[in-house]
Amino acid sequence: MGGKITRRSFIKRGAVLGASSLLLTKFPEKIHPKPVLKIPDISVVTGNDYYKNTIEAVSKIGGMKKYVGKGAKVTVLANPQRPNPGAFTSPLVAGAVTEMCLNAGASSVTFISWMPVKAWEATGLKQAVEKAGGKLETVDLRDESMFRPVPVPEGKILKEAKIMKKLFEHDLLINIPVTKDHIGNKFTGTMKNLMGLNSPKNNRTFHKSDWKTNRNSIIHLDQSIADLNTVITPVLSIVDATEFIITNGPFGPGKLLKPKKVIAGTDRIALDSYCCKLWGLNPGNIVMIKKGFEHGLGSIDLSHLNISEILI
Amino acid sequence: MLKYMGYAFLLLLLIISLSNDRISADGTSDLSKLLPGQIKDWILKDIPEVLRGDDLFLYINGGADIYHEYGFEEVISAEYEQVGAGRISVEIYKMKDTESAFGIFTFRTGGKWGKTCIGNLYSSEDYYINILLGKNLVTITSIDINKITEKGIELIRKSLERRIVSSVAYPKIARTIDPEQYKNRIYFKGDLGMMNIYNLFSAESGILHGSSGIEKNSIIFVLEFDHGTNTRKKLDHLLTLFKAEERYSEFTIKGQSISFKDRNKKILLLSVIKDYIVINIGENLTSCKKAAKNFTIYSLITK
Repeated sequence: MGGKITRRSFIKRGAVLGASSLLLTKFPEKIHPKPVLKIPDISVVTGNDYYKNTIEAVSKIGGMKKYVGKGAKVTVLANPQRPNPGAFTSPLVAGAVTEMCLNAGASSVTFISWMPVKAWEATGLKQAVEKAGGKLETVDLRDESMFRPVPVPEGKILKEAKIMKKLFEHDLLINIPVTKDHIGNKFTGTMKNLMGLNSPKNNRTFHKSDWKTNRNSIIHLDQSIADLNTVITPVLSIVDATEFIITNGPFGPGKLLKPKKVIAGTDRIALDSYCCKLWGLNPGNIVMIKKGFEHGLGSIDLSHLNISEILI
Repeated sequence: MLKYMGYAFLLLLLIISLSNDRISADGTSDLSKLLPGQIKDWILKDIPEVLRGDDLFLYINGGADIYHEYGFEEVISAEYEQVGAGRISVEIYKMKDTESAFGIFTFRTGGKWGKTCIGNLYSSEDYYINILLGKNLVTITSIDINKITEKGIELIRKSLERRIVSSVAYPKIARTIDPEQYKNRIYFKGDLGMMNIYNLFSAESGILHGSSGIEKNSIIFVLEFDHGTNTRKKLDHLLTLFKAEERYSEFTIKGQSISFKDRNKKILLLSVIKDYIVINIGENLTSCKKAAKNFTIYSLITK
């Protein structure tokens, strides 16, 4: 029956496990263990200076040295989607993260992306990263050879991701999304930002091909995002919730909300759940968050977490 | 002699083409022709980007599905700059017809719109505007928000209005909503379109399209479905969907109408009016019945 292992299936399973463990051990929480005790699960810093908010948010959860070892080659994933206000990660947040990593002893800090350099320049992200001592490396979004097939053993819909090869040249990943609205699944944050590492061609499979926007399309998209998250584990997520769009997302332009917050932590489900509440969404109604929780990626119930909220 | 006549004819053609800078918005022209290289002090940066069909996913990633559902054809994206003042982005989404463009326009504006002085549908927010020009939804955005870009947006809007000949076609179902009664009106397609306005169902409902009107505590949905023409069947289908949800209770069925409450004690009244399923949501049953009656009268006098 289903349990019978043939030579062929053994090799196939071995290949799948081997490839997935390669990625999992490349960015494991084992190498950079989750800080425990006394430090909050999530730190939220509110203030007019977004650079300072970022520094303080990371400081509250143990400082960057907790996450970035000496000599580490760090890669950072930001969102440069569009220069529309509130539709991209703030350059101040990106600059602060770069500086903190270098100060912690990182040998290099590289922002990787398949978005064109033009987008990074238009948003001011490229300039901010370079000024802080980091660098930007982009790949041609249509060149599939720039992406490595990665099996998704726990994937319910997504069985194989195509991850940017550049990710594998680094020791750890820091995810710095901007949280905002999304016309389809109503929310974007840490989980959805990881689509920025997956090839656009593979991302296209997250959306149904018939362009019909029914409930099943949203479930398909959100399950795929949650599946992708099972094979990529950022060591730290820092969410830009300083200024973001709450209508017409993810592209904008849309109605702007300015909570002036930077939110940091390692539990991406908890971070996304927290961000949902910033504009009155119930995280339990966001399919992607529920699916991520079902995958065991984090906590959806914030009441059990230690959340530090400060105003500077 | 014939040679000179030929030159004169070519010259005449050139003069005509230069003098006629108004471009038909029927979609036959190249979108890039709609964007001049310079509008007063605003200079076009780089070559505008044009994306068609499925490539919209590369442009706006996750938001592309709904545009396709409305009937997206192509988009042109450009940026104007006034050195020292800032940048303004211009996007023109060309849809398959004027009704589709009307739909995506109402969707993007959240149903809040008015008219420009020459009659085009228009919506203005803090730092951007949307304007409907025939088959084209035009969005003009201040990338650098300041007083100069604010004025620049209006300048570019007026320039495009002069260049694009347009007319509006309201889908029949959208004409059933009385603008005097509902300030916010949206023409939507599919479940996702409706979900972005109001979360009525958790299940897939099979809605083809519909229109909505929102005014303070009163909401109206006028819906068309894809499952048969029998109105009783449509009503039964919806009743099944609503009953499957824990948040709805106290169902009362009277002939062709059904009323019930949601968990916030709001009343929902479902009726079959003409060929539509109409849902009125309000504070009490009397106000819902009144709104349904007004809809019946208004839909009879509008074509």
